Amino acid sequence: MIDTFNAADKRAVVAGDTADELGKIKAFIVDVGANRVEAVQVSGRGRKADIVPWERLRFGGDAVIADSGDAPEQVSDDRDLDAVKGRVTMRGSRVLATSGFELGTVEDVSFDSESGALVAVRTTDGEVDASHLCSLGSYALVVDAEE
Amino acid sequence: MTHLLRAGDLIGHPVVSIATGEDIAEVRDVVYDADRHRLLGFTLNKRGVFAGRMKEVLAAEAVTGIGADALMVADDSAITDTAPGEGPLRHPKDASQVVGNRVVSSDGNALGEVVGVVLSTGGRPEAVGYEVEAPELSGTAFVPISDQMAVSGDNLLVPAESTEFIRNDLAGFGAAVSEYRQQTMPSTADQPGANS
Repeated sequence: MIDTFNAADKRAVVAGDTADELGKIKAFIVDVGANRVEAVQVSGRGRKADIVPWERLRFGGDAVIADSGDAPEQVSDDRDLDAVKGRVTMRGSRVLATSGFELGTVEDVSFDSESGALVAVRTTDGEVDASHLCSLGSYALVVDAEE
Repeated sequence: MTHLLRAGDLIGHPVVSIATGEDIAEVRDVVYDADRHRLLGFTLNKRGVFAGRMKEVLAAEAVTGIGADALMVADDSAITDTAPGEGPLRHPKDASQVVGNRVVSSDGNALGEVVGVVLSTGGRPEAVGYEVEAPELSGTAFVPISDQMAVSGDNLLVPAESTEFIRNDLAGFGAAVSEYRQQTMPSTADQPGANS
């Protein structure tokens, strides 16, 4: 199934063992090098940012099931911290081609809800296939799309 | 189509790492060798409002793409304070100047005064022309660079046969440059930056 970041925003994250709602999806943490969703950030827990690694999720269309109530973990590395603090996020990011020309800003990202693989990035200028992504930094999402 | 840029418009442009998506510097000035009509590279400023000059420089060969919005480099190692361009890139004041030169055709017509350098964009950026303030040619004109040009610091002598490729707009000049290069230097058209 193809899902998108915008469609999955605020989707409930439920613990598979206790059926407790752990929170709602607040953000996606993406590994642009590996072309996949690495983790989701879960909100509404009144604590520091919690993320759930992709490997511990089943990504359903109405709810996301974590393998257990203790699946959410603290952010450990700087890059993930930048992501949960909103400093480095796909959506809203400037898109910059390796040719040095800007290609709009990111509006939405589609991904495979089974594997977590990114499919495409929708920008204000059009769509970029995920295979063209190079890196995501605080300045831009760099893509090698040919003009 | 070849997209062209004025070198001066690159000042303030971010230098962005393709490896990380971070802006690692911005262009302070463009360093250009008028004797060989070659783009040497760029001096840099740190990013940010109160940021000053960086001691690192960016050699033209380390740039993987120059566009209207950014200069792209592979990674942080592209900017270095041990640049291969010992000399002009280190000491931009030593680079020979072309801006301000009077442009004279080889058949003796004064065309105007050089006000800037025009660069090609894309993967292998190079200087392709000069922007000339030319009252005789109704304002600004663009003159293609060729090996036959001679520059003294006072005068830039251009071959008379190149004057038919002079254009008044950058878009039209891109096509004129391609055509002119195919006629005059088919070998260098394939190898920009080749040091003959």
